[in-house]
This record gives sequence, structure tokens and C-alpha cells, in this order.
Amino acid sequence: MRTRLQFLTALGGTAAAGALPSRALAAAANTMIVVNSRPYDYETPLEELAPTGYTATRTFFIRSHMGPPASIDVRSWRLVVDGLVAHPLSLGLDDLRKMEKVEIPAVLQCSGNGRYFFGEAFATVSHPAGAQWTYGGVGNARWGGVRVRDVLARAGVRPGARFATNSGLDNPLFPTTPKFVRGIEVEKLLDPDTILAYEMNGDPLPYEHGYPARLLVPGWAGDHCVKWIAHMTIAQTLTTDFWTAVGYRYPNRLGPPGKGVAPQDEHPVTALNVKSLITAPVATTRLRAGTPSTVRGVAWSGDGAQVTRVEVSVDAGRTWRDAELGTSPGRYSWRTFTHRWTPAAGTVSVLARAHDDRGAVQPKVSPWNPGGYLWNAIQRVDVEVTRS
Amino acid sequence: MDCGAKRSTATAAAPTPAVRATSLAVGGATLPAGPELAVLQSSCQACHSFGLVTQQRLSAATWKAEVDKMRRFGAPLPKANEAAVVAYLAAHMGPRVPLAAPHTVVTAPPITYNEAHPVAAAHAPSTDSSAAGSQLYTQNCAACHGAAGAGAPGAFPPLAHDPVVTAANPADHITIMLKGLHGKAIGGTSYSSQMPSFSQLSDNEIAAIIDHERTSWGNNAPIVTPDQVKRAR
Repeated sequence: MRTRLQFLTALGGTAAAGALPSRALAAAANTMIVVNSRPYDYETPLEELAPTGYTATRTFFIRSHMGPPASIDVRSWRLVVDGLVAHPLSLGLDDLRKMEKVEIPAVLQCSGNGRYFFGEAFATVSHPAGAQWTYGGVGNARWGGVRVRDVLARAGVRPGARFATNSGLDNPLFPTTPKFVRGIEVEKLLDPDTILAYEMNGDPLPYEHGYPARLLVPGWAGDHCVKWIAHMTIAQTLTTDFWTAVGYRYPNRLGPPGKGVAPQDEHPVTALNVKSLITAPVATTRLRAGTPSTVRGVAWSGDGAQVTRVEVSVDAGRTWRDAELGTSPGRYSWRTFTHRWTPAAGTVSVLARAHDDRGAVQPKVSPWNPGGYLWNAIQRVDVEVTRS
Repeated sequence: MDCGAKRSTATAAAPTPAVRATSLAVGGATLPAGPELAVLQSSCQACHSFGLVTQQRLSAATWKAEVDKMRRFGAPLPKANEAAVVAYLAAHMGPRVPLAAPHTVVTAPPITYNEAHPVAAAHAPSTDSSAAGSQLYTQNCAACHGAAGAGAPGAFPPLAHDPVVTAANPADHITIMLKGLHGKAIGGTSYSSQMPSFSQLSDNEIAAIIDHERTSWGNNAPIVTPDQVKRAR
């Protein structure tokens, strides 16, 4: 297995003897890690997660069940809003652009990000099935678009309507494969921060990320954020479609690791949980003993909870220091953190542990669940420190 | 269907078709050759790459549940093979088999913006038709028909020396690209899979793919023009 450093050298990137300098990162820019090649399940390398605090669109994680639709005629694309509404709507992209625009900085994370680590932590039992994401099924972007609340106000949601059933232009290959249809509470759609995004980081939403528009539910798992959205049906009950009734569910009661749970004993994954990622150093970083260095990373929580503290350990968890937190551009964005230290020679284990304002703190191991969702355990990076 | 297969900058020039492997090395484990591996390779790749299968480490019971679900989803895995395949999966991709974290690093795929193109295609075709044909074939066809046109036994017919691909009259070749194909025996072999229609591709793209197939792997048959594709719609 080639290390990332060997791969970068082969690409022509500069391999420095000490810590990987930012110039060498630029040489390695625009790389992603393949979790699955078709349809894309590509994750973002740790070094590329937050170069500016935001994740560059080019290297933002990409995932879907069905892949993008083969082609989209934006002139005829419509978002149809129907069901229990007074005025069914058929909105084109121009209609959305005429409505009041907001921009929400927000973390988007696949609910299965980190699923691989359940298998590492619970090695002898059945690993959760699914794409084996590690760290990079997450990103932070500025999402521009219209409030779903404003669209639903125009449609006039009828009394008794509790849920929306959302789907997009992506279709399965076989007629018996369930279409990706997701149900969500209308109450969450009426949250002023829930938007239909047609921009990402200031540019039009790219094709691969859901052009022309996607749902963006800040603080909730990415599976709610339907890409290529085309249909929103308001209803009294939650959809019974497969990807809501069976997929993306979390046990009501946690059971023994390795054991399946019936969907009726589970509830939909909704809010993200408190989590941090160390973006520097990475495993291939070479540090010099006696040379000051900075641990960098990002931290966030879900459902509007705010990260209030990140602790860093550079001695495998024996002692912890509070890191410095960067400012937060918005309640759903992640915060950066930094911690200065001067390493001694040898193999050093660096950890980060985030706390939020609702009292949640990252665990050493997240609870095993059959879907492998919501992994948020403390990350550990082992780094070589050479003698000066 | 959009296969979206992307090339890694680190791969060799012509990747061996997966269905030809005598055995597969998978993240610390080895999948031995045999009828079960052949059935898996020909049953699982219409919708997603084989790597999604080989990165799992499931118990026998969970493998059975997953295979049942995949068959309900349309995977062309014959019922008669199911028990043997589940046993194989549990033996070679069970929890105690070592699993390596994903580590293949590739250049980030190009992301496309479509504001300037009212009818947006998933992949902008290049103006060089031979490069476009090879690239489009890789993206749309190779997952089933193989990088070298070898297909997969019982599931996807080979295109090398195929009677339709090498026919002097390309009409059937164009029709199959536009309408898909199912249930036809080719060269005495019946194929379980369903080839989808690729009518969503442009005339240029379909012609480029057809021409690539007709001039590769020892095939040397008359090529087609985009206009011929357009007239056949």
C-alpha cells in the first residue's frame, strides 16, 4: 500500500524532509480518496478539509446511491410542490432566484461518515454494511438559496400536514431498485435555516452536488439533503419508501454489537452529533523534535448546538490542553481550532476532543449500530518526530 | 444510468477487466477464483463497482440479508447460486478477515457547471472523437462489458468479435444503444442482465462509443456518424 506521501511524490509533489509545507499541499491539491468508484463515494483528504475554513467545492465529498442523472435540461426543470397544500407549485430555477436569497454556512456530513471505524473498534462482529467512509465524508460550505419556509408559505401548507416526501431527478437502473425518496417533518422544513440551495461556495451548485437545486437541512445528516430535487409532496404521514422506512435508521434501543435491528424498532437519523477532526498533522507529516508546530483541526455539532471547547492531547490522551477556537461564521458551520506545541523525538499520538453547549462530548468509541451511523469518536493521529 | 466511472491518475494504461481475474486481492484478504467469484463479478456491477462488495465484512446472516436485498433490487444473481455465493462471501469477507481503510487517492473528478448549457450533460464530450469514444466507453460501458470488451459470462456479452459490433450494417448496433437489450441469446449464450437504453447520450457521444467498439480489441468494422444515430431515434 502506497502511503499518501509516496503517491504525492509520484505525482511530482514536493516531499519535504520536515513537516509537509503548504506549498507541497498545493502540489497535492485537488486529490480525493476513493471509497467507492461508481457511483462516486469520494471522500476529502484531511489536509484538504478546511484550507480556508471552508471545504473547496472541487474536493468536497461526493456521494449518492444512483449517481447524477445522465442529463438535465434546466429550462424544463421544475420543483413541484404538491399534496396537502392550498396552491400546488411548479417552480423553475428563475422562480427560485427571484425569491429572497439567503446564504447559510453549514457542515454537510454523510450519516455514514466514519463507518469504517465501527469495524475497527468492533472487529470480531459483523461490521456495519455500507460504504466504508473514514474521515472525509464531511465538508463545510456556504450554501446559497431560498428558505423552504418561503416556498411553503407560497404553497400554503394545509392543517394536519406533518411530513414532506422529497425526491430528485436521480433514478435507479433497475425498475425494482427503490428510488431515493426521503421523508422529513414539515416542522424542520419550516425552520428558517432550512433552504433549497442553488449555490455552493458562491458558485452555481455543481452538477455532481445536486444541480440545479438541493435541499440543505443544516445540522442534520446529509441523507435529508436531497440532490437534484424535483418533487416535494406534503402529507399527513411519513413516506413508506425504502430509503426512509428501512434505510438511514438508528435503533431506538442500542443492542449488542453485530446484531441487526428491525426497522420498526428504529427511528430516522436526524441530527448530527459533536465531532472534531485533526487536519494537521496527518499520519505522513514529518515533524522535527524541538521545532514548534501547530495542531489544527475543525469541530462542529448538530441540530444547532455550538462547540464550546476543544481539548488536544499530544501524549496519547494522558494529558489534555484546551485548544484555541476560531470564530464561527454561523451556527451550523464548523469552528477551526489550533494548538501550539513543540514535539520531542519519537512516535507521538495526537488526539482532539470536542464539547458542545448541550453537554455532549466526543466518546472514545461511538455506539455500534447496524447502519454504522453517527461515528463521532475521538480521532487519533500517530506522527513520527525525527531528531533535529 | 450514469456509470460515472472515473480514471485514477495512478492506474496503469489498461486495467485488467475484473471478470478476468483468477483471484482478487482485497484489503488484506484474497478472494479465490471459482464459480462463486465469477457469479459475483457478473451479478454485482451493473449499478455499482465491485469494490463496494469487497469492502464489506459481514456475518453470514447479514450477507444473506444483503444478497436477498440486492436480488430484490434487481441484481441478476441466479437463485440457484445464492447459497454458494453467500457461503463464499461469509468465508472470504467475514468480520475476521482484515480490512484496510480506503486509500486509493485520485485527482478530484472535474465538477461541471451547467449555467451556460441549457441541456446539461453529465460529461462534456471532447472535440477529439477518438479520445472521446474511449473515455465515454470507459465511463458508460466498461463496467459491464469490460475495459477490453471481454464481458462477463452469463451476464454481459463480450464486444470483442461480437456479431452486432462487427456487422457491416451498423443498424442493430445503433438500435441497441438507443433502446437497450434484454433476453437475447448471443452466440448461443443467454444473458441474464438487462442492458439499459443510452438514449440520453448525445448523437455525438453514441457515435463515438460505437466507433470505439468497432475499432478496438481486434474489431475492424464500419464506423457510424452522429447523423446516423440521430436518424435512428
